[in-house]
Amino acid sequence: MKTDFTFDENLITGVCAGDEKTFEELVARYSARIFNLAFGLTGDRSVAEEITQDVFFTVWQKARQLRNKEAFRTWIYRITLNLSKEHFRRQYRRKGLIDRMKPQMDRQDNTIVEETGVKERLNAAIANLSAYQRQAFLLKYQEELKISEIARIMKCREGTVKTHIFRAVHSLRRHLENEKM
Amino acid sequence: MRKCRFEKQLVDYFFGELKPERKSIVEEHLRKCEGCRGWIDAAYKISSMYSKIDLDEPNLRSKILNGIPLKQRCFRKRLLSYSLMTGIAFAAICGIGLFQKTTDIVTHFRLYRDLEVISCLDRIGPLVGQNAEAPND
Repeated sequence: MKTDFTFDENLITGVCAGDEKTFEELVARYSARIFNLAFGLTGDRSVAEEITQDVFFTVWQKARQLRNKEAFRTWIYRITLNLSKEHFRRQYRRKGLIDRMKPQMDRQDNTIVEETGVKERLNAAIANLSAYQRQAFLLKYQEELKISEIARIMKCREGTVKTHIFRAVHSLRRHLENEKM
Repeated sequence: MRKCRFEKQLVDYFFGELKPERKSIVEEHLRKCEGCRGWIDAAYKISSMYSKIDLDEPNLRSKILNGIPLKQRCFRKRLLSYSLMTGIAFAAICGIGLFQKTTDIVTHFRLYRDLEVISCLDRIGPLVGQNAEAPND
């Protein structure tokens, strides 16, 4: 989907004014993207759904605080990353496991798209990436954002984003070689 | 793979974000560096293998829109409980402070009163002594 920033700006202005119809339009425009990103980050459908709901709740509540309306896309992705992190933090606190930053790759949820072979193993490899590498990888490969946008979302330098992506591809390559795909 | 100074430029090159004037330099490097060539090949391979996770979630929109009033109620409830807790904590701190201040004032007052009594006694003392000596004269 090509992003029309002016359209986004108009939508967010409407949301700031408390217009529910505009908000519905905003949800229609971004919900699938946010859900897919949250699913990519967490690997759990129900958690992704909850995160998506929380993201839009935050948007509805805090839209007025967004000073630069043009940066809406960056803002909504950042909220998604923060809420995903918060989910892992809560999970870590609850279960006390060290390596909970990895998504639950057992993926016992049968409703998930049935992937077999290569794709499944690639997703497993993505789940094994570090949290930052996975974020940078998904934002680039899935959301097709520019490096500069990813840097703003992840609040780091562009060079750091590039390093994360480089290392992510490198470790995926190693993983695929080990799997002899 | 050993660290190569071109790795950040490779990312830009692969995603088409490299400045045109740098493109030929990276391509020249790729001819020489096997490691970087391997990285580019892997990036292409992953790109072809990776299909965007595009889950079909038919009720997502309605779930979000219906969930918001509920979340709003929960949020208000949480906000209310936080405000209440903050209020209680503030009242407790004020209460303790007030109690300490009152105790200080009372102690001060008692001390002042005792000093007054002592000074009175000091003043009265010689007079009492004179009066006591008077009958002997």
